[in-house]
Amino acid sequence: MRILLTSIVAMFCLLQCSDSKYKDGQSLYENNCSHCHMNDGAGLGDAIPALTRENLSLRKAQIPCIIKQGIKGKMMVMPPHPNLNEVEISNIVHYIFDQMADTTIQWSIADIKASLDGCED
Amino acid sequence: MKFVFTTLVLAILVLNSCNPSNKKSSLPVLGNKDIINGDTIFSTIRDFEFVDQDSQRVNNSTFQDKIYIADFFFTHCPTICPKVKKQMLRIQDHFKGNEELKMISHTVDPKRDTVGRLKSYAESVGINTDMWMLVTGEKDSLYSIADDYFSVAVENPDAPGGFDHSGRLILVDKKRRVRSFCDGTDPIKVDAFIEDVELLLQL
Repeated sequence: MRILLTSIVAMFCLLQCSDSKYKDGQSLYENNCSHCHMNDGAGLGDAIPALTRENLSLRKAQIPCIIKQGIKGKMMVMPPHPNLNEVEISNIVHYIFDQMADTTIQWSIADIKASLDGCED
Repeated sequence: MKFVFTTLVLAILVLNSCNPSNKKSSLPVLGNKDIINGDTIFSTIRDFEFVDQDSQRVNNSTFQDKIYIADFFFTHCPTICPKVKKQMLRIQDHFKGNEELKMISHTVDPKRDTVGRLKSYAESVGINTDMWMLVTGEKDSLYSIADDYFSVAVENPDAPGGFDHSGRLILVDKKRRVRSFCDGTDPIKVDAFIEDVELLLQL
């Protein structure tokens, strides 16, 4: 009985440990993306786009390339992230779709890698 | 009788310690000071002249009878500036319509942050330029006045974006003296800073 109770409490605690089920993605996002796109994805007016469901859906297929290569906006330039590999980019993409667009995407690492291989220069 | 007395004492102690507003009632003057002939002379923000996003001259008399918040940034900044600007937007909204408070953001990249660029940036970010000015000017003047604001502004090719600067927000009173500052990237620190601004408005 005691073991059962302890296990239940432990499991409950572990489940509370992360805001999102994509914990690695969250941490990568916070270290690489949040200083511009903000922790909640709200961006900065028209200068830095918000990561809303609408905005993310509009460019869904390009997002891995955008993360890897950066993109020139009207006001500011999003820098490239050459240090991130396909696993890390996959984690970030899953996190932002889940956390900010409330969408579960079904991309595998292979899908992300294929997408990255096809990035235009 | 003893019971009643003890309860009363405890009640008084509890009520006194439950004071939810441990708010300050004064703001110290920050910075260097000299004592000359028995008078304390605090260091003040030096004379300055810059140009804002509408090509209007901005100098000390722009802030006559006003308190203001100052910071340093550049529009191409890939690190701390967006978060600081976000918090400054929060301050802008909080004090909307208050004629006694102004805000001034100095660029540390006058080469690229022209008046036109500052204007576009202000519009793009949602800055109310009646209240909050983005200024440019002579590089030496911009960099040297940063010292008065306890801020850092230097060109550094190794830094992200090419410039090192602090994300501090500095509060200046009507006598050009610094009264508070905070880390502008941290919403909790900015909450406390907003309280200092409210206090200074009343002092």
